[in-house]
Amino acid sequence: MKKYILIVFLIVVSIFSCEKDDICAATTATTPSLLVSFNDNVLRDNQKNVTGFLATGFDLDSALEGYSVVTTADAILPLRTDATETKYRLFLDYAIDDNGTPDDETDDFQTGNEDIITINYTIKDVFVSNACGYKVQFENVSITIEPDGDNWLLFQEALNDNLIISDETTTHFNIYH
Amino acid sequence: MKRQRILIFIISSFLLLSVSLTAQNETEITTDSISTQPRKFGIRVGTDASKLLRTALDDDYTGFELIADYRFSRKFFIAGELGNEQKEFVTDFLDITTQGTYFKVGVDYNMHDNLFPLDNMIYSGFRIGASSFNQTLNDGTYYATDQYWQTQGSVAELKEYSGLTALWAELQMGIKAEVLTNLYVGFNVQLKYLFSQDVPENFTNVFIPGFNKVFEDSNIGVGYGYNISYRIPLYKK
Repeated sequence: MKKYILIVFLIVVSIFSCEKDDICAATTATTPSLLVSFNDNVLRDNQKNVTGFLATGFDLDSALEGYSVVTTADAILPLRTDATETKYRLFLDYAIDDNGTPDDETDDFQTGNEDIITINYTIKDVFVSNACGYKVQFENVSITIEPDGDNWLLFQEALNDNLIISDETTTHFNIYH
Repeated sequence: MKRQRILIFIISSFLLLSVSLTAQNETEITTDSISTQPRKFGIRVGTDASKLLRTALDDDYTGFELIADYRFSRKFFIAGELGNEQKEFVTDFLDITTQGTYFKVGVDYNMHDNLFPLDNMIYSGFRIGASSFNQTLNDGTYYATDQYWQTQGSVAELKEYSGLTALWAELQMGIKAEVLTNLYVGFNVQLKYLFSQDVPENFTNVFIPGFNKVFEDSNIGVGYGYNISYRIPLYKK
C-alpha cells in the first residue's frame, strides 16, 4: 500500500515537472503592428481601394509580405522595435517598366506614385509571459507624409487622441487619398 | 487546468493523510512488541546532495541546502530545511537571475515499521516554506511575430526587483536509509502549493528559491532532493 502511494506521488510530481510552458503560443497577443485604413478624401467615412499598392520598408529591398502590388483598402504595417521611428515607401499603381527590352533587366525602372511616410512613437515595455517575454506598446504615435509635390496620400489622422497601439483589434489610423 | 491541478493536489493530500491514518492503526496493534525496543533519539543534520551536484553541473544554478530533523516520538520528527539558491532563467527573449534564501519547517511521519535494530524511514512530511528573494532582469528582447524588420529591440531599463517574498505549503514523500551507523542517505519528492508571492509590477517570478520553477497560471510546484545526513545520537528510549 505504502509503495503504491509513493509511486502515485512520484507520477504526479513527474507530470507537473514535465509541463512545458516554454513556447510562446501563437494566439498570445505580442507586439502589435500598425493598422491603417485607406479612405476616400472626399467621403471620409468610406474606404477606398488603393490599386497597385506596394509597401516597402525604407531601407529594405524586399516588399512587405502581402503588399506587393495588390488592391487593398487596409494595410498592416509592422513597426520597428529597435527604433522610435519607422519609415515606409508606399506606392500607388506600382509597376515595373521593362523599357521595351523584356530580356534585359538592367534598364528596368519602376513606375507609379511613391510616397514616404514616417511613423514616430515611443516604446513602452509590457511583460507578457515567461515564454513570450516582453511586447512593445507604441505610444504617442504620429504619422508624417513626406511632401514630394505629387503626393497621392493627402491626409492622415489617428482614430483616437493620444493613440496607444497595444493590440490589433481596431484600426489605428485613417489615411485619405 | 488550474482547477484540475488543485484537485490533484487535494486528492494526493487526502491519500497521504489516509496512509498516515492506516499506518497509525497498524502500529497500535503491534505497539507492545515494538515499543519495548530501545530507539535512538537525536538531531539529524545533513545536506541536499542534488543541489551540490546541480551546482557543479549546471552553469545557470548555484544552491545549497541544510537539512535537519529531530525525533520527538517514535514515529514523528520535527523537520526543516534552510537554503540559498541562485538560478538564471534564459530563453531567446528573456534573461532573468533569481537569488534568495528560504526555510521550511514541518513534521515528518515515519510510515515504516522497522525490525529491531533497523532504523530506516519511509516517510511523508508536511512543510510550510518561506522565501525571501530578488530578481534581476539581465536582458529582455521584444517578442514580435512579424519579422519584417529583422532585428527586434530590447528592454532599455534593466531592473532589479528586490525584497520579494513567497509562502507555500509542501508535501514530501521519501525514504531515509541508515547505510552506516547514524549515517543516512535518502531521497524525497516534493509537491508544493503556493499561497502567496510578491509579483513585481509588469514582471513575473520565474523561480522562487526553495519552491523551484513557478508555472504560469498555476500555484503548484514540484521538487526533489537527495539527502545525506548524520544523526547526532543524544539518548535511547
